Amino acid sequence: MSDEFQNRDLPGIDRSLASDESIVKTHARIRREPSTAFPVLFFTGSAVIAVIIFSWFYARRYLGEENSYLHERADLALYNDWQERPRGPIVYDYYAIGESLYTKMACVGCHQADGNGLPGQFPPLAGSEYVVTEDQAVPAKILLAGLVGPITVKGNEYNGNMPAYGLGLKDHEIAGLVTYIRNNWGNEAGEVSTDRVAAIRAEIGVRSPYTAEEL
Amino acid sequence: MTLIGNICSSLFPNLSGDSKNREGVRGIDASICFPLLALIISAFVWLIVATVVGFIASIKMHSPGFLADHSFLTYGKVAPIFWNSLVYGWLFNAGLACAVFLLSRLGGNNVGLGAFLTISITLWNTGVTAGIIGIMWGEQLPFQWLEFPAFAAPILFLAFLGIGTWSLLTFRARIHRSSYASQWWIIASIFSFAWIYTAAQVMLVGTPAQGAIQKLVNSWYVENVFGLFIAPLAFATLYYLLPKTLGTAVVGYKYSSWAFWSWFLFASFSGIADLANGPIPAWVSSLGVIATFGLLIPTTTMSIQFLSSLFSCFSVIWDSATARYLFVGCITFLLVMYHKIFGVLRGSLDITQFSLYDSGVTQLALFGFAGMTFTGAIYFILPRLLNKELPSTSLIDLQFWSHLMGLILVSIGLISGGTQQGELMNGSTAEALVVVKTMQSSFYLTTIGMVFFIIGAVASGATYIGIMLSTRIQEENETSLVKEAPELEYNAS
Amino acid sequence: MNRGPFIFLGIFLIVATSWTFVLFETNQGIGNLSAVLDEDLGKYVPIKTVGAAAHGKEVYQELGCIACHTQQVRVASGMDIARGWGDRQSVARDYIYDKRSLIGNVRIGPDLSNVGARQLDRNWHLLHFYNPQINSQGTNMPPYPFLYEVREVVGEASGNALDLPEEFSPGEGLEVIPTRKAESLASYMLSLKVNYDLKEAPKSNETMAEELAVALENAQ
Repeated sequence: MSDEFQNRDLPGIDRSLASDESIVKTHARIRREPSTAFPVLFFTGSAVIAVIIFSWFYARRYLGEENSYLHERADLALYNDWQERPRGPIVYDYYAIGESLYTKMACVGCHQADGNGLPGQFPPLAGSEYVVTEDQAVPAKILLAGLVGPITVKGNEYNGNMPAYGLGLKDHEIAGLVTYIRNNWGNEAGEVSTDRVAAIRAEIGVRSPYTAEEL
Repeated sequence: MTLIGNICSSLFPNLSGDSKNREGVRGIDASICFPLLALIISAFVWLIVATVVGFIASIKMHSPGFLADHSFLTYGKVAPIFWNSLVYGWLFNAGLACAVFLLSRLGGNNVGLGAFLTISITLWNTGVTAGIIGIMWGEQLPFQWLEFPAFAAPILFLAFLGIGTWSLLTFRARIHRSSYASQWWIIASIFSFAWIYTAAQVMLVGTPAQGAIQKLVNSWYVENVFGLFIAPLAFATLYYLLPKTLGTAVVGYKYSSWAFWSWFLFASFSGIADLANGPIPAWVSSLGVIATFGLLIPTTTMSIQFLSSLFSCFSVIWDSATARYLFVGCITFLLVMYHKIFGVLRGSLDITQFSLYDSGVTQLALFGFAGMTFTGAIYFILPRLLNKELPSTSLIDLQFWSHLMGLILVSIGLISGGTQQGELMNGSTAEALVVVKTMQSSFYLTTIGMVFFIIGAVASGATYIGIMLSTRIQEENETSLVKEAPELEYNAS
Repeated sequence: MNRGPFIFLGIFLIVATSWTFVLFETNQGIGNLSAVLDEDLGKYVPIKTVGAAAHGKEVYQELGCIACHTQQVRVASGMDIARGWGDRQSVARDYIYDKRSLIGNVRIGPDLSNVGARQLDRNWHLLHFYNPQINSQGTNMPPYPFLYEVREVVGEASGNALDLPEEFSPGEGLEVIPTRKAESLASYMLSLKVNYDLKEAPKSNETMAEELAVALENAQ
């Protein structure tokens, strides 16, 4: 075994050429001393200058505008123009808009997913005379300004408080909801357009909630 | 029976001879013997797992039908298992072994609590195992290096808290007033990992952010695991072992604290550079590029420090089992940082984004820089821990050259292959199918490289088993086996 | 540097600054997006993945498809648009309904964000998952035979049995039936299409210039 130690290239244990304590103390002394270790200082200093120069030029060119996805400042001009380009008339899928808003605006919470409401509490929308009536303005007005007081729907009495959504929803969203409730659950009463809703809104202005008699 | 006797005598040496020889140091080593051995053995086990799984994964790249019949070995599960066992299994255990040893030795004292530390280590490895089984079971999360299912995170976090607490207590218990660079790097890495892991888990799993932000958090986390945890542990090891094995003070040590702070500052912002042109605002990746370039500063400082020290005693490197690993580690560090810094500039990133180039650079960093450094350190630690010699230096030679060969093959395979892949993917409209066909040779190179890694891993295992199971010879029963270390020479110039 | 609390404070400041400026700031900026009304389509976009496609998304995550496939389209670099992988930049709003981000970061295989618009044949996908060599000869995508059941033909072949070419068929009197996971995964593939534009999502410079010119012309 001991012959092997002498003949092999590597030692069985690496000799330790510095004690732990002296490592700590000597290096602490080195840190305190004023000598400069010039090569390290020179190359580190050069690296610092290189980094500053690089960062300056890179940031100037590639740090795009806040939340913009494009880097190059040159591209941004075209991108901004393109974003602001004039658009043609918008074609809305009112039924789909109404369908997503029916859940999002929590209509489903009161009028339920099947449109039957809750007896005694919330009137139904399915087959409701206030929904499928020929005058598109009726459901639109209810949505825009709200409804309070007693109301008879499909032979049942309700006395509740439908909040107004006119300020919270845009014209196309009201049109979407009205289209949806007029064409879902067996109702078939046709589409309502954004322009119609805009006209109704202009007509009624901002007002207190409707009562059943007014409609 | 002799084997059991040998293990017992390894773990509980009863040394004769001058008990004053290295008394304090032997006491420190004895009090961390168990946890340190637990870390080293766990690291070895995970190394075997990682290299074997990596081998399977690299075969699947060129022969996709290999082992594809069962859901738990499909490539999409094997790839994350490879990365996770490599990082959280091997590198964490090996790196923390170095950290535990370094903190104890440099502090001149440790806080004991070996059982507490061992339990934390066991908990950590349990968490990693549970996570890997979770991936095989189909519960993986789609986040790079965070694929472990949600249940693994609290286990890993608690375990890390335990290990971290032990480390901080040991640092506090130090007897010297001044501290050394290794200690700063280790303490900082412990703090950093705890914070980045918590932030990542909270923003990805706890209260998940919106989709694109999750990608941002993931990129931030991945680079920070390397930059703020693994690399600091490797630096700490280099700072300690270079004076230890070469007998000279670290050249230019005066600037170590600049290197330390600038590294952490820039590394913490550098991960996000890869998100260029993605669904994240452009300023984020530009900031990442600037920060990555900023890493040039600490890289320059530290590579001059390490390489000057090594070259001033060049002949010693090949006479020492440990120093040769440190040398390769330092060279690899330079290569990795070169690739990271210049690979992130617009020209290169446009070519290499989404290719295997990144995987190659990461493997170079993990197997090369961190892996080599930790392996060398363990060859330094083990004989002192057990007061025995390394059983066969040919095994160490075998491990060194296999690992180096594997490193060269895997890096060349993935880095050059990845660049070629990137040129076709990002620079032409060639079909993905065509691009893959041109990469066959890279895939084969990677597979062969993985085989070399396995050979190296097995060789290191044989060394560990050998040193633990061999019978103590006469010299190994004496306290004089390891000589007292002399004072570090330093001539103020 | 000799005191633990000093290092603690310094590292805490660094990591906190990094977290704040990188993660927190970005989250404030683009982390709370909601669906917008697409003026051309007339409905709210992006559209949630529901039903079988949602289950397929989970299968995608479980099998680790993200290891080789991305789901993002780039405009400013690469040839994503030229390849037909999309027609505009993927932006943060496209991913707001993703519970787990599947954006990905490595492409061994093609980008999948628009695969449902490129490959509309459900059967193609089912064959592809069973053995990618069937319709992408030479690929290194692994086969997923465990997503399928091979069983004996009883009487007539089942309606949803795969129509396999000779060399990939399991043999006489056997048929390959996709399981629920395979069907869901195919549904998910078909649901992956980005057929809406977003105001903030840039297209290639040529396309943007063209659309701008057309819009200005029409406005006159």
